[in-house]
Amino acid sequence: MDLMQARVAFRERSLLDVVDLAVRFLAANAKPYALLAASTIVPAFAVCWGVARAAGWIFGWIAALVLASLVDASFVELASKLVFSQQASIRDAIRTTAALLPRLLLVRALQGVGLAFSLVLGGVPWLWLGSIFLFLPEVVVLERSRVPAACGRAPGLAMVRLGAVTAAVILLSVLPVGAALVADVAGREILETLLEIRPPKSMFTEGGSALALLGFWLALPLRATARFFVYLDVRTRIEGWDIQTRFAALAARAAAALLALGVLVMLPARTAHAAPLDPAKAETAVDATMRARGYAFCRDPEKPLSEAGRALCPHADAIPDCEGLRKACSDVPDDELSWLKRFSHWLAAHAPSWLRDVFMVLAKLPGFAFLAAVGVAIVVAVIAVVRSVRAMRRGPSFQAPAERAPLRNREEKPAPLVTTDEEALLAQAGDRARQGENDAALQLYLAAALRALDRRGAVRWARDRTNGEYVRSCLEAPSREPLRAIVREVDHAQFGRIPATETAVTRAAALASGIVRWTPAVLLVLILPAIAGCSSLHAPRAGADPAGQDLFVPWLRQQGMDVAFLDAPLEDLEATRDGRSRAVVIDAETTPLDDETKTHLETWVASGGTLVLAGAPATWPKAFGAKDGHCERTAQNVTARMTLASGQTTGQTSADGASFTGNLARAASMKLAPATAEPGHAASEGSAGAEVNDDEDDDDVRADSGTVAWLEDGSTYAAVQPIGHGAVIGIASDELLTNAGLARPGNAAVLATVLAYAGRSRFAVAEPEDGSAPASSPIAALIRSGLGLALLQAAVAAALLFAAAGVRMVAPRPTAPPSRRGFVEHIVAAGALYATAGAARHVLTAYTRFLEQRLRAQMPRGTTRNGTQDGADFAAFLSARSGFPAAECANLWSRAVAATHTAGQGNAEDLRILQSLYEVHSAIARRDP
Amino acid sequence: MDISYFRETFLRIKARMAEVVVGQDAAIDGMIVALLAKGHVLIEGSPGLGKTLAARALGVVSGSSFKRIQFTPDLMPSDITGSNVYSRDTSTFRFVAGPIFAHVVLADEINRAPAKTQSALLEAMQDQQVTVDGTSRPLASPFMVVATQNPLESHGTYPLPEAQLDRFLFKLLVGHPPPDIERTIVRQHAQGFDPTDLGKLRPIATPDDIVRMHAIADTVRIDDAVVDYIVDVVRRTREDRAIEVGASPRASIAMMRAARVVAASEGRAFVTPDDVKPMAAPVLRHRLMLHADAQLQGVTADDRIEEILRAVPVPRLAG
Repeated sequence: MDLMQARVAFRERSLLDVVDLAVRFLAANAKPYALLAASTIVPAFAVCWGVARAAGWIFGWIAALVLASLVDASFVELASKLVFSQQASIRDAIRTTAALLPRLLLVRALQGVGLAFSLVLGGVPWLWLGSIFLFLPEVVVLERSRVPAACGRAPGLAMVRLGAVTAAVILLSVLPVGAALVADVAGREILETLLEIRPPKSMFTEGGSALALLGFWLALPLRATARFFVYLDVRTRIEGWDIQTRFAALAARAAAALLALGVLVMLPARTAHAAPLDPAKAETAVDATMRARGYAFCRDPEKPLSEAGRALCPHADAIPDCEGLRKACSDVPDDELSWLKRFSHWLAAHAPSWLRDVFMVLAKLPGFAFLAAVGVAIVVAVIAVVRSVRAMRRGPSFQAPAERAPLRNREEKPAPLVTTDEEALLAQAGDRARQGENDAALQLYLAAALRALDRRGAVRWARDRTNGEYVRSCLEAPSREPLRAIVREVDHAQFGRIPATETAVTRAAALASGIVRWTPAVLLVLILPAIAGCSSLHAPRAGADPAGQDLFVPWLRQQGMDVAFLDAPLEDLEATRDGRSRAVVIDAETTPLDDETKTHLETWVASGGTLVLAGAPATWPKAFGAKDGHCERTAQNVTARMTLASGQTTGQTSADGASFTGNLARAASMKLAPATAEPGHAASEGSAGAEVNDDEDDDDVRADSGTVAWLEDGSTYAAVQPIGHGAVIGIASDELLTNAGLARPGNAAVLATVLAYAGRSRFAVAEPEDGSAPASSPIAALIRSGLGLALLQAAVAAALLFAAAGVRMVAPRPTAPPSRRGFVEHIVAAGALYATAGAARHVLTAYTRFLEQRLRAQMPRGTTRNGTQDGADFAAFLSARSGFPAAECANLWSRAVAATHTAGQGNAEDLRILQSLYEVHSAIARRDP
Repeated sequence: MDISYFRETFLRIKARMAEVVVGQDAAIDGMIVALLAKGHVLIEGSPGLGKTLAARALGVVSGSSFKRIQFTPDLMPSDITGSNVYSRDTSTFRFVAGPIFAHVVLADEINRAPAKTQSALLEAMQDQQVTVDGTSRPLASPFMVVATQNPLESHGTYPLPEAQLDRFLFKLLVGHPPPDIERTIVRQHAQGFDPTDLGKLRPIATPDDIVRMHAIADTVRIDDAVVDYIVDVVRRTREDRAIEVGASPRASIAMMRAARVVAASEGRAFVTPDDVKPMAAPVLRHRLMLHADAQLQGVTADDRIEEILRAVPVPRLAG
């Protein structure tokens, strides 16, 4: 175990961090994992599959579980070695695991007993048992513990962080199941839709499938690695394993007299280089890098050249063996091309890398062909989008019939249809046809056709729809007639009881196959060129763009520099005065800096950071005090001067240092403002300009303020500007960082000279996206990208649209049905009011009329419409519905009616009649609410 | 004489009727199907939509005798069935046949006559005979009652009793035509079309042809699965919570008969669920009595029928 080479930081991690780390770890170590998988998983998969085929999928899965519990120990062993070592022996991992097999068997058996016990109790106890036993394999394999000791050690580890471990148990339990499901579903889709190969039967119908088994086994390395990292995380937290390993590392360093290392794992193991960039060796480094990397910008640059690449054409003649670039530069310039060609070239230059090749091919086509190709692509894309939207709107339309209408002779029919896959249905239909069951075969062909159309959104398959409705509603016109023909045959056989002939079955088979396979095939043929054109004409080529910067970083590394890309936005740079911190290189042309980033860079530099900033000075932070000079499309020589330290002899030495001359295809310069170094930290006259500072406590400004590279006309091309405790090395253009610019003889030395003023041997290079601070919200991102006004307009338009149309589209609320109870209460309340007012007769009249209307509505139809009822009808109805005696009801009703025809204020008798009527009516309401 | 003859005659009758009744294809289809299924039709629609014209055209095109009865509140049963009239010459009672003795009888605005008069049609519609003074007299064959009623007017009308409604095979709804159809109708009238004069309309068939078509329709095969489907649909009308009184077995029979005619009209000698489903609404809509609550909520019989059809699985083996 080489702790110096530890490749994973031991720090506290959340569960998701652990899984993420496991995935990355697997990707980074794909080769050893693949080798181990080939040695263990492949034979185990074969065994499980064989068992499944021989004895059924239940036994197949049991075999898989048993074998997986043993095989995953080898992956744990491999992961433990790969954490500390670039290479690990697969044979050793297997051998170690094999040696521990008896112990593993015992602990796995123990886990199996726990699982079985939990399943008996509904599975819930597994959350606890699985957690305390989770690390048994790790303890046995990595700590070489015996089983009794492991049984004490593993729960001890788990109990300290039981919550996290339980979450890990759930996640790791779900992982293989999910992998099996995804592999089955996705694998079948890929086989069936893309490759048009008949897929194996689904695990949902068979209980298992080869695809599901494959998914289960492929998830094993990830599961084992993730569990190992959880184990590592727990040990780090509770035992300070990271501290132990640090001490171990110190001890190892002392013993072996190794170079000092301060950081155990996350920091790269490379030591800070003691030597500065040497301009004399820069040219050699360029040559070596180009030979090693085989960059294509010289030999076979991308065509057409981008605008920036064309600007570098003056270098083509100067760079040795650069025939390809020379030829590309001699092609017709964009200015002389038609607008169509210029447009296609613009597309090729600005398209994403995966589309660039397509546009490059299109750019070579004649104008009308280019337009036609673009038109076809747009049509295909529109069709795809429309169909997708339509399918989404339809939603999951297929519904397996929950119940079926009773069928005669059901027992004679084929087994209930459980599969919904059209290819499987076609296959079943073929089987039926071969067995002579023509009627059943026809049914299945129809089902296959309907299933295929349903999946494509052409019909909606539902149990209440008739065959004729399917035909009439089929949205896919070419499929309508074939479907009609199949339906005709099916109806003849099923409802006409006319036995299907072989000819009919053959015809139905051909039609159904056409519906299932032909249409998607045509669509695939139409779409394939687009797909192929987008991705697989040419693989993206590194270094084919003369204006690219592929050469810069390897060139620095070739000279022994420690170079990395920033792993966070520039806004997150942490202030440091550490002499070994990285100098940050920013190409302001390709990495636009937003205001927040500029402000942060000013602070960062002032606090001690060293910044190398290339590009137009107008885009730099203002505090750096640089302004644009002139910028011309004319070539000029550039000369950089390096102040020599004692004993150094390099380049064209002069009295005060060495000079190196290069050439710029486009001359750019800058104007400097006075330095803003803090008092007491001003640069001292005559100090070594390129002195490497390895002193950790050094607070001095690293370079003098002033010009370090000039153009022929004497203007400043590069300069050092001390800011606070740090410094900025400004370069007026990024040309020297480009492939062609750096490859031109002389330029590498100039750039090395300029970079040497950073006084660093470690560099961090910013990438284009690092210049923008992350937006705090999606809306902020839109506003930052210039879409704020559009966002506002869209919001206003949406509001107007809603006010204009959306409101009307709201489903109208049905008016609430009149509440009878409320009306009755109203009548009663009104009656009480009149009674209080002494108008008893009026109350009785109103209530009697109300009651009459109610009774008319409730009495049998045909007897109440024409005023034909007499008092006896109402009294009889009242008696029948209320349960009161008929004579009483007749008396009551007659008195009530008589009262209503008599004038007067009324008296207490009226109120008694009213009370009685109310009771009778209430009785009706109670009996028939 | 086979299914193809049936189909050909059906299509010719339909095409000929469509020459004078423009834009009412559904009503025309329903009337022809009812005629060939030995049923009667109740047509409901606003005035001026061609209900009477369609009935008269059917009578003419099918070569049948046609009589019209304008139902009024003072119409008596004997005005429909006929009565025995004393003959002074022979000193005997002579039966004077009423307008019911025709192949196609148009009962215009049937709900304007009282229940007693409406009931005079019951025997004729069900048993295809009338009984006057104890003597039963058979009616012509084919015999079909086409009744119309106006849904808007309620004053002075007598709703048809359930027993009467159940005798109608179909209740057809006639709606207002779309603008282009209405333009065609107006142009037709501008060119001299007189709806009261159908003398130029030539018959396509004879009453005997219609009777033969009845016989052909009776031979159309109906599978048990389809019978189950019909019964399932009708039974669900009795189980629906929004329906107070569901359809009777007569509705199932009516649906079966109509489906047979539809199947034969498409040249098939067997019935499929596709023939049954479109018949459900016209067969059932007048046979369902909705709960008061459902009516208050604006639910219609057609809504419930549509819901029921959506809930009943169509018989098939696969799918």
